[in-house]
Amino acid sequence: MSRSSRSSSSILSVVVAGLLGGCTSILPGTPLPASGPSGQGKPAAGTSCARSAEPDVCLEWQDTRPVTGKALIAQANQDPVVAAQMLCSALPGGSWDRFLGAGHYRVIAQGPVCTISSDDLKKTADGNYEPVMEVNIWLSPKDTIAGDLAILNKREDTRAMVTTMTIAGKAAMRVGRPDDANGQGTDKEEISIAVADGDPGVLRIRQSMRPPRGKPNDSPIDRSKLETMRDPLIAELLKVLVP
Amino acid sequence: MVQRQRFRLAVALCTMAMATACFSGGGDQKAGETSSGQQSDKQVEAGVPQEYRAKAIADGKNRAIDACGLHDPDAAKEVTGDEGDEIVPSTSGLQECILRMHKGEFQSTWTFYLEVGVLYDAASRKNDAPEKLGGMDVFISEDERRCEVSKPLDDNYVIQLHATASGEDNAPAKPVCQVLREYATKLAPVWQELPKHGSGRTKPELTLPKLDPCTAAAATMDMFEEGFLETSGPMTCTARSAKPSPPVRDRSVGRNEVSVTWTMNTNPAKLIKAGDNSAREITVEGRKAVISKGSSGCTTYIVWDPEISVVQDNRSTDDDSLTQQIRVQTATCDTAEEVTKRIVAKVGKR
Repeated sequence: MSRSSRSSSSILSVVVAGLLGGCTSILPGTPLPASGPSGQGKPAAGTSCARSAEPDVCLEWQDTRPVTGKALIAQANQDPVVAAQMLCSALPGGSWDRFLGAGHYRVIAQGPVCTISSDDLKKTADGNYEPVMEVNIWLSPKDTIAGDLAILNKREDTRAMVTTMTIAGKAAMRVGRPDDANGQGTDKEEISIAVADGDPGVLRIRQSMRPPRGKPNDSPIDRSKLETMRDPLIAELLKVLVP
Repeated sequence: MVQRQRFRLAVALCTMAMATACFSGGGDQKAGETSSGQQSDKQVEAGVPQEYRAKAIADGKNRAIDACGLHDPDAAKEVTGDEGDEIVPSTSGLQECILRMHKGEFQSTWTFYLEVGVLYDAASRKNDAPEKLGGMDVFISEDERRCEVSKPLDDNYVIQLHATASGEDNAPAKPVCQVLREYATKLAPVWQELPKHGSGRTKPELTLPKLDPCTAAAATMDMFEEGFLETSGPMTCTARSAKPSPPVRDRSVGRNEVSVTWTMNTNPAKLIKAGDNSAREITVEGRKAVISKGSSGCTTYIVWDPEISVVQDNRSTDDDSLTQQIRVQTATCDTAEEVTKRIVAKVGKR
């Protein structure tokens, strides 16, 4: 993974982009997709969706063999829910056990976004809840890295949040604010990767860690696990989705 | 949590005797019984549109629960080691009840806030920590000086109890969450069968919760173009227009709506001060009401029953007792008297 630090952007333009898209922007320049999956109504107790933050618009994960590269972008344009199911199916349970631990669960959250969460009911040996790790994977089939950078580079403050890089020969960028990596509250690592250079279609992978359930939002967390997971997880996902 | 209005901390003067005198340990009625108020779609006011009816039904069920009856001052005393100071329904609405503890006069220690029928969504359930306290399933959320226990009433609503330690300078003797966990554990038997207003668990019996605030608000619906009703909690219902209002530049004008809340409050006549014409008293069908102009909009306090009162501060020389009141918020005071007449005619005829 080679990196060259470059920055860009403007909060204003990002906010405008977010508003125009009618979507929730978690990080500047990388709004979640606007349209949600058609929910299945109230999820049954014990299902993964019953554990999600938005059960009404959540879809259960169904193992769906992924297509790759440009075909994946075409799938996202044609049926974003099926594409999200493919993203969620990219790695086997054993891999997620390794990254997130046993008891992890996968759902298609609003977006549609593949969301894989560690077991948020897992406790430490002394009986306290563990911090929660979550991975969100989604496609922006009409976006390009260059387009994102054009928005982010418009203002100094958002430009400072961007690091551009090349991953497996693909243009990529990391966007993050200082408080996304300060070990306090929710920390995030977010990478956007061009699926096919020159053509629209960006794969976005957000890895986050938040304080244990019930604890204050600004509690300290040990983000080393997040850092350890970041590159190997991206590498494994790319091996399958953008070979 | 509902925004508190005119919330005043009572000086710590009441005694435990006052608090315990409010409790008779009764409670043979359960909140789910149909006699408790609006529990079916048929009983929801016609002006509540379809999309808000489920909420109105839930608010109607939760309105029957006696918030002060969910406290136990003796248990709080055991847990904190402090004396009970006061237990009073909140001025925000009768769905809230506050229990304050102290070590002596002007030495407040712990305050336990309880609210019935708080909206609690899936995101809250996901963020908070599930626990069992006294065999009761709850969710806990903690902060440095504040801790919150949420006990689900159904998929969307909870009873919420939170504690705060008083005193800026002194750290509390026990961590706030430890105190709250111990208190909630002791409350579990009481919360198994949620006491209802009129069950005898608390005295005096509050009569306003037997009525639906939407019945009162419905009396003003025809003042709005395409008027409709919406509940916001067990004790509040608002009438407004389905058509968007033009923006109002005058900051002293509140929202173009009539919002009705069942509350307990001190004598509203205290708002009337010589040389200040922002508040005036009216009498409608024998009921006293005070219309008070605020910084944004107008609030009218209709005294529901002056005979039933709760002493807020039993050593105060002032009349500091609380009575049940209908609080009505309107955009301006121009319509307040007319609104009061309509509401009293609808729900308050003697």
